[in-house]
Amino acid sequence: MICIDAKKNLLKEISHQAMFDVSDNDLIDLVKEYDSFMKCVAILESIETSDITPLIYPYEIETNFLREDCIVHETHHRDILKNAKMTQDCYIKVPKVVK
Amino acid sequence: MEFEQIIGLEVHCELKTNSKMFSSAPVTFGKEPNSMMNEIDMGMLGTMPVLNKRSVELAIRVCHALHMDIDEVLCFDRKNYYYADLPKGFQITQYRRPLGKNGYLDIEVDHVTTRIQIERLHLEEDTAKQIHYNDYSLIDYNRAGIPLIEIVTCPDIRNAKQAAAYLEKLRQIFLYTDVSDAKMEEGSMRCDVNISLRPFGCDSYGTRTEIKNVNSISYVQKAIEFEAKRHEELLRCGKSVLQETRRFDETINETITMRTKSDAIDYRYYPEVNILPIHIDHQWVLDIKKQLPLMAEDREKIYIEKHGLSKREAHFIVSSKEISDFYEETIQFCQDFQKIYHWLSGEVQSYLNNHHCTIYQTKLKPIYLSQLIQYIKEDVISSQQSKQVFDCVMKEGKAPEVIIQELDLRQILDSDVIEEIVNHVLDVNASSIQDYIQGKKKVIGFLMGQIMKESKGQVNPKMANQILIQSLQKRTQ
Repeated sequence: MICIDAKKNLLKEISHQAMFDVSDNDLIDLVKEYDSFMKCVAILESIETSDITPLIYPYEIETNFLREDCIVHETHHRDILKNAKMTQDCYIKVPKVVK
Repeated sequence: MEFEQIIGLEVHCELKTNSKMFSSAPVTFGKEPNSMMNEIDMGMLGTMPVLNKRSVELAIRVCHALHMDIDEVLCFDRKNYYYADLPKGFQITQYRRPLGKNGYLDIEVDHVTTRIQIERLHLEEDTAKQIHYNDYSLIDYNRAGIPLIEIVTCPDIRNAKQAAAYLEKLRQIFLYTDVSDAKMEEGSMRCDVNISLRPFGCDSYGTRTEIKNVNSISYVQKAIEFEAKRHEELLRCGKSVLQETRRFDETINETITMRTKSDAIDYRYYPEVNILPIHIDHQWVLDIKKQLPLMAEDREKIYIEKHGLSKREAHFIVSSKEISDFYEETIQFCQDFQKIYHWLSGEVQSYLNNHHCTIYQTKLKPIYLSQLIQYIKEDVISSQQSKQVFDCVMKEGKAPEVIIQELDLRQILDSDVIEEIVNHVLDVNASSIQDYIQGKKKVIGFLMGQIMKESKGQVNPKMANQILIQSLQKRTQ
């Protein structure tokens, strides 16, 4: 059983990796959601699947469709850029993280 | 104890398509940041990636050129990581089933041919371009989604020279198959180096380090040389090499730690659920092979065996695809292969070096070069005049014929006219005749210079020389 502080730290770490800001207040609700989600995971994990081939697609079919190399340039990029918190000279500005 | 270097290379190459790998946004370079992307590239909810046919065709061309087995079922996977260069939080790639497997490339270093086995070639999408400043980064998603191929060698490379030869030859394949402009300086071809050392005779591998994103062939060589020396120094001191990812700092010619194994990323690969397996037509794969253009080594062979060029001359021409293409176009008008080579390796190459441009960026056309060679052959202009005509062609882009007329450069071939000029020169240089009588043969060179000056370089030098000697003999009898 993971203690509440450990859960908070885990969720903080995951949110940090996913680059989300999470406040302490958010964490209280997130821990509840985490508990409920992990109960579902426990149910799934209890199912015996060792000899079952994973199903990747709802339909086990192959396609042969490939898109022709044509440009359809729509000018939605300005709308897309509105999602950015910060911009500079048309660039999206983010905190520096070098990987 | 002597150590052996074990090197494997991973090369990324951007494919020359009009639109992106999974979206119809345009593929561009140097445009306004974030203006060449759409909802699919940004991974917005509700969008679906659809694979670009041309990207598959170009990747198959490279598979054929590298003698690979081709998987005719295209399967894609998600490589998950959270980083600003991919807004989706994952990159679409081929992890389980690469398009090509088990290929090879023969390289030649110091007259020794070595076969480098190629493990895999897979398709994936490029990431965004990032510019890092002290406390923030700027992101341009125009590059996100451009089709890439990644080619991974087996650990068959044994030194920096072989690595450079492999990269040169691979770059040549990208250019000759016309799949990419393969400009390392612009990032359309990038290389990661894996290197480890082991004592000669040892079967097992040592701990390897990876050097990421090296962006020139000479930097790859320098990075390998530095890293091999660093490993060797550690091993000789009884220390161990850490498994880590490093980068090459070209300002100090050294590699620097980026992350160690403990920080290694778990990419949690899993099948890309939005793209069903795609079965590609077997006949299409065969047709692509049939239509494959001639590679550099095929052209080199033709230039030696059919055009009579030496290996060195043929190698010079094929070492640049553009020069080779220009040569191929020129021989449609003129079959004087040797003369074409001399022009391309001489005046043309010198012009390209001085002007930092490629041959197709100049005003020279294959037909102009063939005409220039023909006019010299027919004695319409002298070889000296041809250089003047060449300079004008490069400057003004006019046909040689027009330039010859405009500058009145046509050679004087009329022997009476030449004789008149020769006699005039002898009349005003009487002392030279005395020198000639006294056996000073060097005077002929001086008199020829005066004749060329008098005729403004227009007399045919061969005829002028003959008439000069005849006239001197007459005057001394």
